[in-house]
Amino acid sequence: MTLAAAFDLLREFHKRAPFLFFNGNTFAAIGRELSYALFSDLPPVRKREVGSATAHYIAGVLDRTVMVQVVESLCAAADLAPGTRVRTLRGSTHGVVLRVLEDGRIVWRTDSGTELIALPEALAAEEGGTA
Amino acid sequence: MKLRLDLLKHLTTEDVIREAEATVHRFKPEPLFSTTGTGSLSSASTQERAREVAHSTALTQSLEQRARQSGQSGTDKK
Repeated sequence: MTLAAAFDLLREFHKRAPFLFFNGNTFAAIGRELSYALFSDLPPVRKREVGSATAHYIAGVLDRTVMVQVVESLCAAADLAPGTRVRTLRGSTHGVVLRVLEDGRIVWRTDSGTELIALPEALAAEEGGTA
Repeated sequence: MKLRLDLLKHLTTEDVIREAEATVHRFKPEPLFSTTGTGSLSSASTQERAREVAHSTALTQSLEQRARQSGQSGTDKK
Protein backbone atom coordinates (compact mmCIF):
# COMPACT_ATOMS: atom_id res chain seq x y z
CA MET A 1 0.00 0.00 0.00
CA THR A 2 1.28 3.47 -0.84
CA LEU A 3 1.29 6.31 1.66
CA ALA A 4 -1.33 8.20 -0.34
CA ALA A 5 -3.54 5.08 -0.35
CA ALA A 6 -3.20 4.91 3.45
CA PHE A 7 -4.35 8.53 3.72
CA ASP A 8 -7.23 7.78 1.33
CA LEU A 9 -8.25 4.93 3.61
CA LEU A 10 -8.15 7.12 6.73
CA ARG A 11 -10.26 9.75 4.95
CA GLU A 12 -12.74 7.06 3.94
CA PHE A 13 -12.92 5.77 7.53
CA HIS A 14 -13.59 9.31 8.70
CA LYS A 15 -16.36 9.64 6.14
CA ARG A 16 -17.99 6.39 7.28
CA ALA A 17 -18.10 7.82 10.82
CA PRO A 18 -17.88 4.63 12.89
CA PHE A 19 -18.05 6.58 16.15
CA LEU A 20 -20.91 8.67 17.47
CA PHE A 21 -18.70 11.69 18.18
CA PHE A 22 -15.29 12.98 17.11
CA ASN A 23 -14.39 10.85 14.12
CA GLY A 24 -12.35 13.68 12.60
CA ASN A 25 -9.66 14.06 15.22
CA THR A 26 -9.34 10.30 15.61
CA PHE A 27 -8.42 9.61 11.99
CA ALA A 28 -6.64 12.91 11.36
CA ALA A 29 -4.39 12.21 14.36
CA ILE A 30 -3.45 8.82 12.94
CA GLY A 31 -2.48 10.45 9.63
CA ARG A 32 -0.64 13.28 11.35
CA GLU A 33 1.41 10.93 13.53
CA LEU A 34 2.17 8.69 10.54
CA SER A 35 3.47 11.78 8.73
CA TYR A 36 5.59 12.93 11.66
CA ALA A 37 7.21 9.50 11.87
CA LEU A 38 7.71 8.96 8.14
CA PHE A 39 8.95 12.48 7.39
CA SER A 40 11.28 12.63 10.41
CA ASP A 41 14.17 13.80 8.23
CA LEU A 42 12.42 17.05 7.30
CA PRO A 43 13.17 20.28 9.20
CA PRO A 44 10.69 20.69 12.13
CA VAL A 45 8.52 23.44 10.61
CA ARG A 46 8.18 21.59 7.31
CA LYS A 47 7.40 18.36 9.11
CA ARG A 48 4.60 20.13 10.96
CA GLU A 49 3.23 21.46 7.65
CA VAL A 50 3.27 17.98 6.10
CA GLY A 51 1.35 16.69 9.13
CA SER A 52 -1.08 19.59 8.85
CA ALA A 53 -1.72 19.00 5.12
CA THR A 54 -2.33 15.32 5.83
CA ALA A 55 -4.71 16.06 8.69
CA HIS A 56 -6.64 18.59 6.59
CA TYR A 57 -7.00 16.03 3.79
CA ILE A 58 -8.27 13.33 6.14
CA ALA A 59 -10.54 15.85 7.86
CA GLY A 60 -12.18 16.48 4.48
CA VAL A 61 -11.22 20.11 3.98
CA LEU A 62 -8.37 19.71 1.47
CA ASP A 63 -8.34 18.07 -1.98
CA ARG A 64 -6.05 15.12 -2.64
CA THR A 65 -4.21 16.95 -5.44
CA VAL A 66 -3.46 19.93 -3.22
CA MET A 67 -2.35 17.69 -0.36
CA VAL A 68 0.06 15.81 -2.66
CA GLN A 69 1.43 19.09 -4.05
CA VAL A 70 1.99 20.47 -0.55
CA VAL A 71 3.77 17.33 0.65
CA GLU A 72 5.94 17.08 -2.48
CA SER A 73 6.99 20.73 -2.36
CA LEU A 74 7.82 20.49 1.34
CA CYS A 75 9.88 17.35 0.72
CA ALA A 76 11.99 19.24 -1.81
CA ALA A 77 13.87 20.68 1.18
CA ALA A 78 15.30 17.30 2.05
CA ASP A 79 16.91 16.86 -1.36
CA LEU A 80 18.92 20.07 -1.19
CA ALA A 81 21.80 19.13 1.09
CA PRO A 82 24.88 21.33 1.57
CA GLY A 83 27.13 21.07 -1.45
CA THR A 84 24.32 20.41 -3.94
CA ARG A 85 24.54 22.40 -7.16
CA VAL A 86 21.32 24.35 -7.69
CA ARG A 87 19.79 26.90 -10.01
CA THR A 88 16.79 29.18 -9.87
CA LEU A 89 13.69 27.77 -11.53
CA ARG A 90 14.24 29.89 -14.65
CA GLY A 91 17.88 28.91 -14.70
CA SER A 92 19.10 32.51 -14.66
CA THR A 93 21.32 32.03 -11.59
CA HIS A 94 23.42 29.03 -10.58
CA GLY A 95 25.20 28.24 -7.33
CA VAL A 96 25.74 25.82 -4.50
CA VAL A 97 23.81 25.10 -1.26
CA LEU A 98 25.72 26.17 1.85
CA ARG A 99 23.33 25.03 4.59
CA VAL A 100 19.67 24.32 5.37
CA LEU A 101 18.12 26.52 8.07
CA GLU A 102 15.96 25.01 10.83
CA ASP A 103 12.78 26.31 9.15
CA GLY A 104 13.74 24.61 5.87
CA ARG A 105 14.95 27.68 3.98
CA ILE A 106 18.13 27.26 1.97
CA VAL A 107 21.26 29.38 2.29
CA TRP A 108 23.10 29.23 -1.03
CA ARG A 109 25.95 31.01 -2.77
CA THR A 110 25.63 32.01 -6.38
CA ASP A 111 28.53 31.44 -8.78
CA SER A 112 29.16 35.18 -8.67
CA GLY A 113 29.79 34.88 -4.90
CA THR A 114 26.59 36.40 -3.50
CA GLU A 115 25.06 34.62 -0.50
CA LEU A 116 21.28 34.30 -0.67
CA ILE A 117 18.41 32.70 1.29
CA ALA A 118 15.64 30.98 -0.68
CA LEU A 119 12.70 28.68 -0.19
CA PRO A 120 13.61 25.18 -1.42
CA GLU A 121 10.70 25.21 -3.87
CA ALA A 122 12.34 28.22 -5.57
CA LEU A 123 15.47 26.21 -6.38
CA ALA A 124 16.08 23.16 -8.53
CA ALA A 125 18.96 20.72 -8.19
CA GLU A 126 21.23 20.68 -11.23
CA GLU A 127 22.26 17.62 -13.18
CA GLY A 128 25.51 16.33 -11.82
CA GLY A 129 24.56 16.76 -8.14
CA THR A 130 27.17 17.97 -5.69
CA ALA A 131 29.70 20.74 -6.23
CA MET B 1 13.53 11.82 0.14
CA LYS B 2 13.54 8.61 2.12
CA LEU B 3 10.46 7.76 4.18
CA ARG B 4 11.49 6.66 7.69
CA LEU B 5 9.72 3.31 7.77
CA ASP B 6 12.26 2.22 10.39
CA LEU B 7 10.89 4.82 12.83
CA LEU B 8 7.28 4.10 11.92
CA LYS B 9 7.67 0.63 13.42
CA HIS B 10 8.08 2.25 16.84
CA LEU B 11 4.99 4.47 16.66
CA THR B 12 2.47 3.34 19.28
CA THR B 13 -1.27 3.68 19.77
CA GLU B 14 -0.57 5.86 22.83
CA ASP B 15 1.26 8.37 20.62
CA VAL B 16 -1.80 8.67 18.39
CA ILE B 17 -4.23 8.89 21.31
CA ARG B 18 -2.26 11.75 22.88
CA GLU B 19 -2.29 13.71 19.61
CA ALA B 20 -6.01 13.00 19.04
CA GLU B 21 -6.85 14.29 22.52
CA ALA B 22 -4.67 17.37 22.15
CA THR B 23 -6.41 18.46 18.93
CA VAL B 24 -9.99 17.51 19.81
CA HIS B 25 -11.10 21.14 20.19
CA ARG B 26 -10.32 21.87 16.52
CA PHE B 27 -12.85 19.33 15.24
CA LYS B 28 -16.65 19.22 15.22
CA PRO B 29 -18.03 16.45 17.44
CA GLU B 30 -20.83 15.52 15.01
CA PRO B 31 -20.06 13.37 11.90
CA LEU B 32 -20.10 16.39 9.58
CA PHE B 33 -18.05 14.81 6.79
CA SER B 34 -20.34 11.81 6.40
CA THR B 35 -23.50 13.91 6.36
CA THR B 36 -22.41 16.92 4.28
CA GLY B 37 -19.42 15.60 2.30
CA THR B 38 -17.31 18.45 3.63
CA GLY B 39 -15.31 18.15 6.79
CA SER B 40 -14.29 20.74 9.31
CA LEU B 41 -10.98 21.64 10.93
CA SER B 42 -10.47 25.00 12.59
CA SER B 43 -7.20 26.86 12.10
CA ALA B 44 -4.44 26.33 14.59
CA SER B 45 -3.41 29.28 16.76
CA THR B 46 0.20 30.45 16.91
CA GLN B 47 0.64 28.63 20.22
CA GLU B 48 -0.82 25.45 18.76
CA ARG B 49 1.52 25.66 15.77
CA ALA B 50 4.48 26.03 18.12
CA ARG B 51 3.21 23.09 20.17
CA GLU B 52 2.88 20.95 17.04
CA VAL B 53 6.45 21.76 15.98
CA ALA B 54 7.68 20.85 19.48
CA HIS B 55 5.54 17.70 19.49
CA SER B 56 6.77 16.51 16.08
CA THR B 57 10.38 17.09 17.14
CA ALA B 58 9.84 15.29 20.45
CA LEU B 59 8.12 12.40 18.68
CA THR B 60 11.02 12.00 16.26
CA GLN B 61 13.50 11.97 19.14
CA SER B 62 11.35 9.51 21.03
CA LEU B 63 11.04 7.19 18.01
CA GLU B 64 14.79 7.35 17.39
CA GLN B 65 15.42 6.49 21.04
CA ARG B 66 13.02 3.55 20.87
CA ALA B 67 14.74 2.38 17.67
CA ARG B 68 18.14 2.56 19.39
CA GLN B 69 16.84 0.67 22.44
CA SER B 70 15.20 -1.91 20.21
CA GLY B 71 18.49 -2.34 18.34
CA GLN B 72 20.38 -2.72 21.60
CA SER B 73 17.97 -5.32 22.97
CA GLY B 74 18.20 -7.12 19.63
CA THR B 75 21.97 -7.14 19.94
CA ASP B 76 21.73 -8.28 23.58
CA LYS B 77 19.60 -11.25 22.54
CA LYS B 78 22.32 -12.38 20.15
